[in-house]
Amino acid sequence: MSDGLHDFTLPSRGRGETPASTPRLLEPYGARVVLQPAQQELDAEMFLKALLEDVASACLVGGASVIGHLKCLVQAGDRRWFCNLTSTRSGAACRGEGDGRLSLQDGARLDLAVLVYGLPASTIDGLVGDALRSLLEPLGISWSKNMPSVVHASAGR
Amino acid sequence: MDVLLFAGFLGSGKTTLILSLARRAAASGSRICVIVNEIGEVGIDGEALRMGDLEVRELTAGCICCQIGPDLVRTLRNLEERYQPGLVIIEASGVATPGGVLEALHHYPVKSVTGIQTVTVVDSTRFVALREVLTPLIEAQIRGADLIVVTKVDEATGAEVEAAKKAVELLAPGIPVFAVDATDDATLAVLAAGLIPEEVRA
Ligand SMILES: Nc1nc2c(ncn2[C@@H]2O[C@H](COP(=O)(O)OP(=O)(O)OP(=O)(O)O)[C@@H](O)[C@H]2O)c(=O)[nH]1
Ligand SMILES: [Mg+2]
Repeated sequence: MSDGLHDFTLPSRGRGETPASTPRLLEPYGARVVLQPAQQELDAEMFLKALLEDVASACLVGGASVIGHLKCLVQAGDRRWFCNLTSTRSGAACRGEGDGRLSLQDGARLDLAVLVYGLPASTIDGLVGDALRSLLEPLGISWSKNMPSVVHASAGR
Repeated sequence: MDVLLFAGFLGSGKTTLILSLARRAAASGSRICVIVNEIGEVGIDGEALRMGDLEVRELTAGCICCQIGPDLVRTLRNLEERYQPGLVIIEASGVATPGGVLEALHHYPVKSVTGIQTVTVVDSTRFVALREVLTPLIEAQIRGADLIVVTKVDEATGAEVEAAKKAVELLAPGIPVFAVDATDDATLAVLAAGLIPEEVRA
């Protein structure tokens, strides 16, 4: 039996050595980022939009052949903001609860999925780290990132 | 229960359409459940659908090399026993073909599934570029559809929308094609009326 996936995609593990120019390599990348508690508020829309647009541009510069979908969700307290990007032409679109200013009093959790063709997940991870650093460090927000084995946003709530 | 299967490339607009259609059906008091299968290890659509007050099941076989078939059938059987929805909407992953998912359902039939309709979502802003690089996937997604929904017509140029529609008509002759801007309520209402079975809407 086929689930229709095998003809078009490569397994997501053990392909770190695949050259970045392999146009049909799709290694789904996911990360969970924890933002440490801080005094200031986070402008969710501005942050998520900049994050996805920076990562998408970096992926293209780094040799990605196709942008599939970049999407993320930040949760702080009982507020959630989503952001999606499918092309650099359209840019990222965000939506969520409230005015988008999230209190970081208890910290926040960011789930991020980057689905692009032509780049290994390890390369994407480096690009995501660079983008987070350049956006969060000037705000004085500490963070940590890991690549989970399976994380679905509702898990652990 | 009726099943609506949504296929279409990554980011084509499946979740956006499902949210709108399912909320309309749920507003009429019907039991609706959405089953979502995202590729990769971080799932976000399930939470987006839940925020729309929908009953959601996530297929967590995150790795794209895993077969979703058994997991999907198990989920459907579980729904059949415990929730008895009138309509189940399945969001296939953006790299799945409708044929692959249907094959799984034919191998392991679920008793109460009375009908399956397949909708393939085509992003008009990216169709030409995606087809060029990912020809077999994009074409198989279109060929496997009972209905094609061309999305993002608000963002695409007229030429992009026409190119997508024309190509779709050649690949899937005779299959109805519906163009939408997912932010336009009036068009979505027409789509919902055509897609959601009458007994579910009633
Ligand atoms: N302008 C515009 N944007 C749309 C339309 N439909 C969807 N989008 C946007 O396209 C992006 C992707 O939409 P999704 O519904 O998440 O796409 P998807 O097919 O579910 O994506 P995957 O689950 O990753 O395969 C989001 O930012 C949507 O808001 C549309 O008709 N017009
Ligand atoms: Mg989706």
